[in-house]
Amino acid sequence: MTLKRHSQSAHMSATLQLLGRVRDLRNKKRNIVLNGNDLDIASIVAVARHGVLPTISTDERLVRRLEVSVDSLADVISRKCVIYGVNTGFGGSADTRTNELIDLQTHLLQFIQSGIITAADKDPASNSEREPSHVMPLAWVRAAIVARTNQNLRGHSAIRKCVLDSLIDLLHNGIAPLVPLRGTISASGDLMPMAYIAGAIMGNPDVFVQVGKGAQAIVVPSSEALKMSGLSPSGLGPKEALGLINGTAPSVALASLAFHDAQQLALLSQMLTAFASECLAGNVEWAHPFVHATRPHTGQIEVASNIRLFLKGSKFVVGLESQQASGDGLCQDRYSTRTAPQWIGPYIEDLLLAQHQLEVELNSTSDNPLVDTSKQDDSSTGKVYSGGNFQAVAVTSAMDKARLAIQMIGRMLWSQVTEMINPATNNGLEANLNATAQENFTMKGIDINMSAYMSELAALAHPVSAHVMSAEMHNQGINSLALISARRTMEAADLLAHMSACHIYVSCQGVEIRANHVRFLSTLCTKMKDFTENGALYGLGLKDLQLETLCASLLPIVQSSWYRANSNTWKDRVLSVVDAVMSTVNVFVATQNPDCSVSTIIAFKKHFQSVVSNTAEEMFYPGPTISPEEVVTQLGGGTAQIYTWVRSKLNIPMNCGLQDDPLYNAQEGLPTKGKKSIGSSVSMVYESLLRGEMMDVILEGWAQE
Amino acid sequence: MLEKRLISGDVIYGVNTGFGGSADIRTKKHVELQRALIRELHYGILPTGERDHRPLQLEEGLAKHRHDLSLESGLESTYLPWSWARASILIRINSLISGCSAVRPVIVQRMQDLLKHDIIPMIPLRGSISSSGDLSPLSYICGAIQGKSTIRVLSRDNQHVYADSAFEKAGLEPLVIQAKEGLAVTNGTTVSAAVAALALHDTHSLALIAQVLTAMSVEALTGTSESFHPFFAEVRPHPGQVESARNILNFLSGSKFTKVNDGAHSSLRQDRYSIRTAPQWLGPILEDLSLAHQQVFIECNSATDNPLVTPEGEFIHGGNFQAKSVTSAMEKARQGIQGIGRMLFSQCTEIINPATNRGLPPNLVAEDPGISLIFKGFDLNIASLTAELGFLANPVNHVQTAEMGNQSLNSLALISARYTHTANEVLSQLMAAHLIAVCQALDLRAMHAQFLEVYHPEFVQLVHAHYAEETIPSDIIPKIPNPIEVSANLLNGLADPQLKPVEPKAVQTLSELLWTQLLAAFDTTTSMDAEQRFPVMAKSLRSVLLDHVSFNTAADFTPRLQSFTEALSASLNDAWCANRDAYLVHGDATGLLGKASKAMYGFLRGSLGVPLLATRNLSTPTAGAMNGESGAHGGAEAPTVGSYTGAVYRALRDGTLAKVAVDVLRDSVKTEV
Repeated sequence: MTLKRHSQSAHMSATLQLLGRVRDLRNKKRNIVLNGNDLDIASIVAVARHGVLPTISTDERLVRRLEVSVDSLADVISRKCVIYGVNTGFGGSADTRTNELIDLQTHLLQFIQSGIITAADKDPASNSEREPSHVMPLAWVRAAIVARTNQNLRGHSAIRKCVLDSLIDLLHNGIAPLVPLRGTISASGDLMPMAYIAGAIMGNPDVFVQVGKGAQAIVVPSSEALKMSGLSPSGLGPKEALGLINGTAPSVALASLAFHDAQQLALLSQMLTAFASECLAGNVEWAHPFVHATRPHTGQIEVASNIRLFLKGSKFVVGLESQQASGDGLCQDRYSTRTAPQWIGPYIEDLLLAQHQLEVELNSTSDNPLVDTSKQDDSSTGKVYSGGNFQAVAVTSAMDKARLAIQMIGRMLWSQVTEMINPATNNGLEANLNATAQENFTMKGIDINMSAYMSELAALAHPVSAHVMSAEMHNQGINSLALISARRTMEAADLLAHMSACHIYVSCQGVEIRANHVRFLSTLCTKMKDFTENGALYGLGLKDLQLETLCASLLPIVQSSWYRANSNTWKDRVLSVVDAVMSTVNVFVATQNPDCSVSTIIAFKKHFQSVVSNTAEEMFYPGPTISPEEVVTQLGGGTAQIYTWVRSKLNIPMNCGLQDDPLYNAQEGLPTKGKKSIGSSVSMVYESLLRGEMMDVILEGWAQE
Repeated sequence: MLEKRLISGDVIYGVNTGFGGSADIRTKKHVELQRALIRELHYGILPTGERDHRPLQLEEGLAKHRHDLSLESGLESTYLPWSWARASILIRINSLISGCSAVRPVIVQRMQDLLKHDIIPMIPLRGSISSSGDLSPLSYICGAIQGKSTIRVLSRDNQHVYADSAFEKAGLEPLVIQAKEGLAVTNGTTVSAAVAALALHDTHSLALIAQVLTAMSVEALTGTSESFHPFFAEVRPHPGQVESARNILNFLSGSKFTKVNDGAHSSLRQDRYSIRTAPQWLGPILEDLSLAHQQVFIECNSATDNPLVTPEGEFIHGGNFQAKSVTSAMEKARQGIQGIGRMLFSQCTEIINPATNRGLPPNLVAEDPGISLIFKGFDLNIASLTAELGFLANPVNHVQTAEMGNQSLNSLALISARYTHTANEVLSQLMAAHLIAVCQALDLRAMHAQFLEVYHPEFVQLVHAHYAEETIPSDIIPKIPNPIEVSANLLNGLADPQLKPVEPKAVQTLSELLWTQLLAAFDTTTSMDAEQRFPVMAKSLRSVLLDHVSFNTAADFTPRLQSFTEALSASLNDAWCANRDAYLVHGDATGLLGKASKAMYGFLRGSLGVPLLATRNLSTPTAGAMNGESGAHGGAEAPTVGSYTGAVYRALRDGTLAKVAVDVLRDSVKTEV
């Protein structure tokens, strides 16, 4: 067994390719033609979530292949062989024999259609209490239909083409069976979910389907839906019901959807690490290729190089092109950003293996028994093998890995966000990223949210596979639980999307505040270098040459004391700076201009303070802060895209605490237009993230890189 | 290089700064800084040594509450075993010689000396978060090369030996570490990588043995090799599935126990999932293990400290000490171990349980099930072990924000690797039990097969004797109670030229019918003691005879039926017991086994000397026997069942059993090529 070794940007290109293919399918630049061999994750996503309609290949050989498999089975039956599920009972009851081959198939569906669906599930409008659903989201059902059709098209299942056509007809007529959410162990495949889908094409009056979508959607018995659409019910021949339901399709289909989200979030997390580094004015020397060449894990190398790519051109960080070898403060960034390549690296290696496992599974025959249609030695046309290709551990394995990866990525984002909000760790930004001149707790709610999301995510990471029961009369002593694992991974990806949305919202605010401080300090610096009466250092009676010396020694003090005084608002920083400056000034004056009087020094202090204070008033809220357009020019190539999307496309502005609260403005008689709660803003980011176009647009440019 | 940079006033982390969240401190005392670092990292808990801190005498009020901790020692060691510590030193050497860490060659040299002179520091088991590397564990290695008097080294005879005296004895010069060297030695993923490499080595062996055990289980359950037909992997080409199916199929070659299941009898048409879906179950695990292998391999050959020096002399600050690759590999391995264990558990319980084992006796007893329960204990044992594995499968995902918030991410790789070792141990225990059970099952099958082979002619003669027309002198009927006599007489009778020639065909057909019925009766009566079993089996043939038109019309049918039943019952009992007794002494299943079973069975019965488990060789001597009374049951040497499992467990742990499995695999691959 050999595993593929990855190229240097294997994960990023896999993710971009996935997104690109989904986009092409949505834009009808490509079609989905099923032939049993070429179904990809993007096609599952396009059918499930974007209403793209697949067709079955009209290739003669494919049609012939299906016919041969059906004929081969008929041949074997006519030789009076005992074939599992054709003339025997099922599972632990396969010790019974029967000649009622057609009824046996119907009976199979009858006893498997045993899941729970409530009245409210059948009538969503009546669910005003918003009870959680007991049926699968319809996207999952559509995904299962397309995956199952493809697996059965491979010609090992002895299912007629007309039966597979009827599955695809459901999609083309907007019919989606209601499938119970729970009840499969994904061992003999996902029997229960597929039994409802099979029941729908047979027109079972007690199998319900949803027809249409939105306000026009109705739920009716499948028999009625088929009639409405002019479709005839499919009767199922020997083995056909078993061939349809005995397989891994619902698991691998749902896993594909979850995986699609996980891949994007994994790539986004690298962009967000770059973003956090900018907010924290990091020293990103840690991304230097040398570090990763000395420890050549493929995932680690890729993450480091991606982060460098996303940071390219950034004015917020140092160490990208050159090294910062002196200065004070922590000499290195904290682990939440510094060790991101080492942290995420192994998990993108896992994700790539998971992707391979899912892609093989989408194009595999996963039912049982299987018909080998090649000529046998005794010149009969087929041989039937009993085996266990329905055992979906490949999917469980992919999903358990993906979920653990999601959890670990979440843990990293949690650290980054909490460090950005905490004034002890955010390298000089205001506590809670308060941008205003008065006490505001701005991001504190999000800080708490992040911990809530993270705790839930950590609990979800535990593997489902450790809880396998010995099922069905001990016949299914081991069972994969793949669908349960995929559902959990879907939840985990959703939580990570919550956390990513928060991270984006916080980071946008963080860089803006950072940029504003940089702008302020540079303005103040100019004013300190102005030795005229408008200058900040005017009034000490010093010569220009002396002022130059003084100014040079004061600039770093101004900068560090300004940043250090970050426990409250920007306004509270002014006094700290003045105090820090005055102690140096006193010493300087005492040696350089001993005649300087105390009153001169007091007057100077007043002057200096007013310059700092006035400069700040002009640049910090409620004064005009730095414009988003200006911020963009200072960001890295990757993070600029996120920032632009949030500020320009979603029109989410910097949050100014109480002043932005809709209720407060209403109470004050001020206009409330555009005023939103923090939650509403973060929700917009969240919605735009995986189900909107944000990732498409953001990642578009990188496909060319 | 480093010195030049310091003179020019560069700030280099850990050289002229503080550490971690305290790196905002600057210093010029470079050597003292390194010593301070190493000192603060010696924080782990070790067994009391003679140079350790001694608390003051406790006042009596407190002292009387103290309980004797020596009663609880041995529960778990508090320090790394020799192998883990030695592997750590080796990998640290390999990492430092990459030349990116700015240490003098003498540092590496002294580490080699540690290995050469077997001066292995006692390193605390707990306390590393494996994020700024395994700082504390490595500090003990660093302490050892300094020949520190406070660093205790391992001793084969539990002496209190310290690094200074060990150095003196070996004639080694203690080292004085220079700027950055303390950091370079301690800041790395080495201990995690070492422990992980050793764990993965074991897991790989166990994954191979799991495939062997699966093949053996297929034979024990008289399953079919059809489940491993290449066709399945062809239509679902997961690489792991392809490989494990091919291996298992190879391992089965030559077996006389596997059946072509055509469903002709009213049995389950297909084998249960525990054996049938083994390739699909194990496949993804093998894929994960391959990726884990790659991750650990790279880790063993990486520079993992910080900061790093480029060949041009640049100092680059990064995070290569973050051992997440190792964590990731270990979580995958541990989850794989759990998956393997869960599958074997199902196989093993199905072999022990008469409802699923296809004709083997309950609890795999060799004697009467009424007085023997041998494998019931195994059944309980493996359930406990599987439960523990389920618990161990959970990821070590409880990352805390550590060290003033600087290390908010930390890999916890060493913790994960330690528990992967634990999982290996638990799985090895499970496998030891499984291997004994499956060999027992194979012996019972062989014993049964041997019995049938020997008994068949006797049975045919018995049928002939009773149902060939007028062939039986009526006077022998009362003599039946002695079966041996019966058969002797029958033989004589058949040879008697005075007897009328029988219709061979009719009787032959009947005898075949009865034989089939007898075989079925064997399968359904496994839970009965011999005394009860053979009369029941004999009686079960009556229905066949009653239905048989050519015989049930005979005038003396009823007495003949009666005498046949009695004769059969007695002959079965005698032949069966005689066969069993002979088998328990001389039995050998080898000739019937597949390639892998043959090797494993031979290893277990031959090399390890673990016998077929029967009450007679397990029961401890009774009081009577100890007093020298004759006729009392039980031998003088009667090990516990657990002592046999223990022997197999140790063979699994020490690599000998893996060697047997690897040879089988190598042979399979060769055959294939």
